[in-house]
Amino acid sequence: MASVPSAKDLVQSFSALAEDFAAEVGRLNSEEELRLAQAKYLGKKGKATDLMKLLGKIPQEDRPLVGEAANQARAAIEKTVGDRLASLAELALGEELARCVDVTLPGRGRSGGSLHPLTRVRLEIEAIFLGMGFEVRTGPLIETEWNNFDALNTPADHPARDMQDTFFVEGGRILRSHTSPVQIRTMLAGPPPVKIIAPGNVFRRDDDATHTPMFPQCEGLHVDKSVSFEDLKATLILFVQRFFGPETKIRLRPSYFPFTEPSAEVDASCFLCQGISPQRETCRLCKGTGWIEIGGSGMVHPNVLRQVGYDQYDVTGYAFGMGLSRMAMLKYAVSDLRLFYENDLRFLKQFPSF
Amino acid sequence: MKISLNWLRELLDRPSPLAAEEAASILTRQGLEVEGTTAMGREMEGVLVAEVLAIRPHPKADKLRLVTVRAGIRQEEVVCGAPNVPEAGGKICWAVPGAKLPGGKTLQAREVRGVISPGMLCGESELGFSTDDSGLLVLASDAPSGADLATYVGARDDIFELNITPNRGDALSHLGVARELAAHLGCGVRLPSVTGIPETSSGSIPEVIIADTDGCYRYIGRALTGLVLGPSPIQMRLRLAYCGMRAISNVVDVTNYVLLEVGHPLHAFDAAKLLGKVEVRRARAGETLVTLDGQSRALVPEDLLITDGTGPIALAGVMGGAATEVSATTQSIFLEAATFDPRSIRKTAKRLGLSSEASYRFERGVDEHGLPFASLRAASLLAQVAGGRVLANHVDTYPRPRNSVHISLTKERLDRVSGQPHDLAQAMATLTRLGFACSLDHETLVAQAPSYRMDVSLPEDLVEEILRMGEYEKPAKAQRIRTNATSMKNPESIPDRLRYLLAGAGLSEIVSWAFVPRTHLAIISEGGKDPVLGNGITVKNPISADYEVMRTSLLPGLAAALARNLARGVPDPWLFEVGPVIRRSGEDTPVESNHAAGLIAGRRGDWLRPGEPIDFFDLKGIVENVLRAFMANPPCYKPAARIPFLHPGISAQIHGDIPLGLLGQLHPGIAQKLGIEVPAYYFEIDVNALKSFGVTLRSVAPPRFPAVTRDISFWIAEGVSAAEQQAALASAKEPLLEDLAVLEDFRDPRYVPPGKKGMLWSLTYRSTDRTLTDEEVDAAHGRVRSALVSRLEIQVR
Repeated sequence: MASVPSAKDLVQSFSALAEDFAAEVGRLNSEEELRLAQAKYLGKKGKATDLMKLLGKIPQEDRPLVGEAANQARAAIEKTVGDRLASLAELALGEELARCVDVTLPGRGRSGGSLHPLTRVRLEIEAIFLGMGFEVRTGPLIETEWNNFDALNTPADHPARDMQDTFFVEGGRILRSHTSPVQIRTMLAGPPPVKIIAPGNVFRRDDDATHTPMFPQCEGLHVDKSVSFEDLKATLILFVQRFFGPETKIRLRPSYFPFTEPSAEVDASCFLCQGISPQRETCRLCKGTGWIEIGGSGMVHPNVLRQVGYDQYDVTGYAFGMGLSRMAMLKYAVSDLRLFYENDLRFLKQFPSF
Repeated sequence: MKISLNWLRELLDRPSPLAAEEAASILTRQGLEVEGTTAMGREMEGVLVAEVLAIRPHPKADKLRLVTVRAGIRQEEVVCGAPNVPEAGGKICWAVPGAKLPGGKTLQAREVRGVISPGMLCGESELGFSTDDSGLLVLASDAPSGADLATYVGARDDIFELNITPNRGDALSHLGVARELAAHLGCGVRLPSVTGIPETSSGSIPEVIIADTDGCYRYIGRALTGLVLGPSPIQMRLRLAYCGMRAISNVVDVTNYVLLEVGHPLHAFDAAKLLGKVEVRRARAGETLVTLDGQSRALVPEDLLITDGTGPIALAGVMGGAATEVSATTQSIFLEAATFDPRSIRKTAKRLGLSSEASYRFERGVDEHGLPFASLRAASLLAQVAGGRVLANHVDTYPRPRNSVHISLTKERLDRVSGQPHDLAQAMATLTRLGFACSLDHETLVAQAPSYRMDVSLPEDLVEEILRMGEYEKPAKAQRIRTNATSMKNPESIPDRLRYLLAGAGLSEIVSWAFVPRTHLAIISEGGKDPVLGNGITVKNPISADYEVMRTSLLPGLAAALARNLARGVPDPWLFEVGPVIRRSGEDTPVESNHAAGLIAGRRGDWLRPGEPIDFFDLKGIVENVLRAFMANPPCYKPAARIPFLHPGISAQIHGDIPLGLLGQLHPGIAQKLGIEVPAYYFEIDVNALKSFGVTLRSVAPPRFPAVTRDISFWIAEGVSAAEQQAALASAKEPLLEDLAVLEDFRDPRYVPPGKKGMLWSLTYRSTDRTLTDEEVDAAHGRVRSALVSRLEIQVR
């Protein structure tokens, strides 16, 4: 084409350029190809640039017309690229989304471990009492007789000692038969107020279907000015309602512990039958009584306060205790006490960590 | 303790009989817990008290007779084979047709050798009263003809099983329990009559001397003569049986009956065998006594004795002697009613392993003031059932009469302890119902406990008495505790944090006994070569050898649990335990420290790559992750010098600033002895040591400039540990070196020169203030490599 192009020719060439590009792009399926094609038209050595070089050869007055055509062509090509990229992206997303896995296959890695039910129940109970402002205190398993009995108003040669058949170890010491020595240690360590719970293992010489020689307990102690029997009731009711459910009631029954006066057994209303007939009559949990025993309690005996150097006329206190095996059996429907100590993973795995 | 409802009803002064359920409910709520109720005699129906009218021979059988009996208006002729049919007028037990007998048998009229017998005449075994099948049960002649037998003899009864706490010695009898019921019901107690006892003035009674007035508080002696030994009436025998006591003879049964009725142990000596005066004293060295059970007992000076002119005749309050025992030929007795020091009784009973109904009550306190009545009641019953007469004069030695103390309770104290305002007048009424003598002095209540309530001595005891009459069961009046915090974890508990972390790592918590068999400690300590592990604190009175020694390590418990799970085919057991171990120290007190330990075996548990067994590094990964929660800087792992229960080449000690614990593969030989046949990996961490690493968290912002990594790969002698290589690399003290990590420890003998291993480390370089150039990184990497080469012999690959 030796002749000088006319403005009209150039305008036509530019619009043809856009159409050619659109035709070519239809076959392209990647961004890379698209960009290459785009450069072939709009790049430094591209077709549009070649056409623009002819601009100088046409009359001055026609140039705006051609310039506009060039701009339109460029815009059209860019739009074609943009549209095509968008549709490619959509296609790719569609393909990605068409992929699927069998979500019912198990996850990778080791399935979770477990917390022992006696730990779990202790943690649940601790959490409730922490929420009521109690501290958690622990103490040694090997104790002195003084901490375990004498300080707790249980002198030697008293029938009350029969209530707890004790293990003796070397050096005139014993394995604690309850966690009450922790109460004694805490009170000896500092002045009132004291508001603690003492969870831990204790030992009694019993080994049968309903007793193990070692078992966990949780005791509580609150000593301050004007702590009363009503406070004990209120604490226990709040505890059982949080542990067993908001409908739970408690019943205190007079009882005897050497270290408390007045003393009370604590029953919670049966959460299985709710104590309501006719379910109650056949309830295997409460055996038809509507009540389940959960522990002992009472007002700290003045002799105990005196033994630890507290002013028995100035302060009063309550104490309570419960067996954690029993609480765990109730809470997790464990049928046999022995399961706690067999350590069979098929049992233990039913208690995941929190 | 077993308590009969019929008996209680007799003792309660109220017109309408108390229902079993109501009685049980009252007692339980008042502190005498009814653990169970057994309905007795319900299976017997239609057995009547009948009068014998006439007896004639059976026409066709020599050994049978035809007995005409009448019960009320009913009259029949019954076939009977028993040898002891009483004469006309005698009272017997007639099971009429349709009657039900124990064992579920229903009686029908049937033909016996050609004669129709309307029902049968019963013996004790047929009625389920005893095993005696020697003949008919013959009743007292005043038995009401036509009455229901089960009701008449008291076979139909409800027996409560009561759990009496050790402070309530006063409640260890029907009278004591009846008093509790009466206080609740607002009625009185009706004591059995003890008047009209036939007396005699002939005969003598021994002199009684209390030589040990600390051991014996009061002694009442009565002499009875003209006794005829034999079985007690069926009513008495049934009651004894229902309350768990064996019937022996009328004289012995009466003492037991009174014990159950009023709670005072009594003892009957055969007066003919008792010589000289009775003395209560302590045993002398070398003395012995043959007790009722036929055993010869060597006595010690703290034993309290009843003696006569010949020496010991009874262990006071514990058991009588064989020499003075009442026997079939006894005609006169010396009846002892006494009280003894509870501690003394307890010591002797414990030492000899002789816990009797008597010692049980003496240990819990028997009221001296109740003795005269108990003695009279026994005399009265003996006269009734054994035909005795009582010698008019009796002995009663009571050197130091006990007065119950006056206890003052202020309204302030009552209100403070109970947490509720009280009206003292009402409190006084409550105490009065319980038998207390009370007076009011302005704001103070003064109470004197009844003599049988020896457990009441403090104001707090009075508070309990007041509260237990109805206030225990009332719900708390006020919402005393106001909190919305329903659930809080204890943030300070390191043992619990370890539990969460280990459970999260896939281990399952176990709980094992704090005591272990001694043999297990021997195994893990190589026969005690490691004394810390091998020489545990001994339990002096273990239940069995399994509970003999306090554990010095958590390994025995975990190993037992692992072995058990493996034996039961549980796949891949990964176990842990957190709890105290107890070890000897130089001090008097053993050291108890909390340990956390884990024992794992089996596979990694990834279903995509099944069958991959775990190794040391699975174990170490768990330990590293757990310790990260407690330590700002990771601890060192040093090859363990010698841990008896770990594989010598696959074990390490863990050190922070102080020793933290150990980990490694369980020694295969020891594992086998512990019942573990597969490779197992064990760690044990001292929880208390973790306390010293309180992590203070200090953060830095993420880096703003990019990092560059360079790898270095070399052969090195097998024995040079990664830690040594790391130390050599770090010795360059290169400021741009940010991090270094092992990528490979390569030991394939096909490619690696002998004695060598191939190591690949990745080193990360970064500056905090600029983007590093390649030249800078190359220079830094060169410096690090030089440091390595200068310290260790390597061949760069």
